[in-house]
Amino acid sequence: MAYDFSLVSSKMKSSKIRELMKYASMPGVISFAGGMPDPDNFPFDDVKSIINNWDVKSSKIAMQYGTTNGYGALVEDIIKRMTTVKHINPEGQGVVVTTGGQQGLYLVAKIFLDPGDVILVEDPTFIGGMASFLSCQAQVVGVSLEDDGVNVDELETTFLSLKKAGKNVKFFYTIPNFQNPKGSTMSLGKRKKLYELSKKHNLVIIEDDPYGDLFYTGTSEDYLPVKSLGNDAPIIYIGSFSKVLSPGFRLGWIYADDIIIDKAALAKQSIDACSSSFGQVIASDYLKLGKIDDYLTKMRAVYSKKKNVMMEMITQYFPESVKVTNAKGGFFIYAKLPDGISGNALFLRTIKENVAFVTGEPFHTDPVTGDQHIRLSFSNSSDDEIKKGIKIIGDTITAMIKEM
Amino acid sequence: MIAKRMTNIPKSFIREILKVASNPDIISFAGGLPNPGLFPVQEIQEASNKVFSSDGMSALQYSTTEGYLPLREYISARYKEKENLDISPDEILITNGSQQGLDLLGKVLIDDNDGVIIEKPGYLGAIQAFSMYNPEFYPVSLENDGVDMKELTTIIENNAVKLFYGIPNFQNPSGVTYSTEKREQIAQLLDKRNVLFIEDNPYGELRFMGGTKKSIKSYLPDSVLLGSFSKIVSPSLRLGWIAAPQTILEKCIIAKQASDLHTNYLSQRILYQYLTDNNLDNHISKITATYKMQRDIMVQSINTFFPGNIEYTKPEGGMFLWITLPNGMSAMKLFERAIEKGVAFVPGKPFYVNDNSDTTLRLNFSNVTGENIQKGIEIMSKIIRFD
Ligand SMILES: Cc1ncc(COP(=O)(O)O)c(C=O)c1O
Ligand SMILES: Cc1ncc(COP(=O)(O)O)c(C=O)c1O
Repeated sequence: MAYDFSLVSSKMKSSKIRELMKYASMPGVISFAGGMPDPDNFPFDDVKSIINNWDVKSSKIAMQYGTTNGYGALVEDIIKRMTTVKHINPEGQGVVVTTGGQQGLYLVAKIFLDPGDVILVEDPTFIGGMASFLSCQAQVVGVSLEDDGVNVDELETTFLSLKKAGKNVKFFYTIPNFQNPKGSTMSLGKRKKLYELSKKHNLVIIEDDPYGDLFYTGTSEDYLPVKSLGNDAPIIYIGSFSKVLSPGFRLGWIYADDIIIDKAALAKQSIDACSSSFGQVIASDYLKLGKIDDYLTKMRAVYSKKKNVMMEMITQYFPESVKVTNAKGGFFIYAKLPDGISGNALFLRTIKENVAFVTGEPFHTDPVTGDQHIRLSFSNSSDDEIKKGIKIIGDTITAMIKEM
Repeated sequence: MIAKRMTNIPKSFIREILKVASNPDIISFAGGLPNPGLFPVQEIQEASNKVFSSDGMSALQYSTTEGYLPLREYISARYKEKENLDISPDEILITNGSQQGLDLLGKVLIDDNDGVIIEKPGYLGAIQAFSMYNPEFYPVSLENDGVDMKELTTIIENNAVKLFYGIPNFQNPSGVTYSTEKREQIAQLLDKRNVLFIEDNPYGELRFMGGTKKSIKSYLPDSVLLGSFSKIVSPSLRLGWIAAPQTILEKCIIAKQASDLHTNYLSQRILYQYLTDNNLDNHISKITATYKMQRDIMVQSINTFFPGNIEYTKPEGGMFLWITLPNGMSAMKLFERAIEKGVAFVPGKPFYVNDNSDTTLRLNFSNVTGENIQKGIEIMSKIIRFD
């Protein structure tokens, strides 16, 4: 039978990272590609005992369909953390628990985007975000991302000129903390400016913050969400349990104005009815154990050490003409290669020596600029792998420079 | 500000009803929940212990979009065993419940105004999911043995129709099962007219009487078949699947990446362990024995208490029974009175796409005790008879 696909599906592309992951997951390959948490430290003993300790009541909730907005106890826990840890004023705000932060992005795409609408993104930005927005047929426009966050002035000019051209600009998507892929963090000054801009123009901001708890310098107060600046600007916060508990559960949340939450829940009903109650009861019980803060402290130390090893190796083995961002948190170091060196070409050489990473290409609105970059994730590699892998990448870049 | 597609979704009246019905003092025939007394709690706990002891680290990690391969192999083997149906694991995508399958298929197949045939009454979750893609719905009436074939033929002959979404076993909401003849006729007709069939089968294994019928996919291999563990193990694991030809499945996989990356991997591992260590057929026979008892009590109570001019379906499986009131009687009014007296159900209205029919209603029996079924039906019958 000849299948007649929808227009949008004929335009959809498979994620390049997913394709590359095939190499990365081959045995013997040192992979800086994935952006996966470190599995050695998952709290699986806690999770195991939580499941074994369920009484009849908890196990019935954990095995039954749940409400679309999420398991009540977990929703309360999330609001509490959003209030006490992230300093967001809970007034008029609500939660919908999502199937990973990724579904949060899909839901905002569903509720805001008509075909042809424009959205603004940091350039480069997270490909999963772009994939969701493109799947709802939006037009994506990039705004320069600097080491201290998006260029807010450029954001405003771009927004205004698009408006003037009659475009429907629906939102600006940002990852203020330890951005994926760039590793950059938005300064407090820019956060304030962005908040004011959003308020002034009523420009919706999608604030994606899966890494915010994983900072390696300073304190939690240094990385408070833009949304914590007040409730007078339309800011939709998206959180995730993937990097702080486990990605296998697929749990995240949207925290936003009740009107948005109602729409998101309505869309979610038809998308998957509810997120796993099984996972939600575990997450809620885990938060109730009161171990999360100690766990995060531990994980910050674990990742910070890996990052330092990677940075040391980069200093030692990468030619000086490679420019890297020294991330203050998160999972990624982003490197700009010397002129004339292609990320894809580099990949094809290092993969022969069993070292994988992702090139910047899919993250940028301009693939040529993208190809001048590579993203190195340190989160899921041992010190030895980092040492070995970075040396190989560095040596290969040096060799390619010589060959030019 | 808000996307147009959001205005297409029917507002969920059911959600409002379920809020009222969740009050423990109310006898609720409204939901569509499995009987929680039958959840294999201990077995799932044991399975999770095994997964954590053997492979806890990877069970909590990110995984592939397609889903856990051994689980897909299990589903493939079960199709072979039960129906002699050849579906390879590569033709199976694990989804976040079969509800997600509906959204993914809507996304990869439906453009604005594409023709979509749906049963009348139809499954609300599908109406909602497809509405997001703004199709032109063509509802086709259900009879006691499946869709009205004349109507179906006329619709297909006179309109550009892309797909037909149906639930051949113990349909939600009506409880109707398609006869073998109609299955064959549908397969022939759709094949000839190049219309894609999407067969949703979350209840097929919950047959408590009558002979098993083959899925339409066995007559029409190019069609799509949706399955779910929600009603045979547990809905909270959120595990369903799409079985489809690879060209369709590949598109669904890409769409799923943008939707949620992959399905809950811990659930997949625990479920697979459970399926390996336990006999699913034995578990399902416990469920069907209980549901048959609940269904029989409901049928008998209706027979005893309801006036004779009320029609009802007598399902051979599944979780629902469908009532048609005599003309002039309003299901919405009955609902309002019944709630006052502590009984809830779902009036038929939300199950129709463009029809204001107010004489039908859906009763769920899986999540109500036998005693309460009798009580609830008696209360309803008093309202029907005397108000
Ligand atoms: C910036 C960003 N947002 C969202 C996600 C999605 O994470 P999840 O769906 O696992 O919560 C990721 C994961 O890599 C990410 O890097
Ligand atoms: C006909 C039908 N399809 C699909 C579903 C969705 O089930 P799940 O997403 O739990 O697999 C249901 C649930 O009630 C249903 O009745």
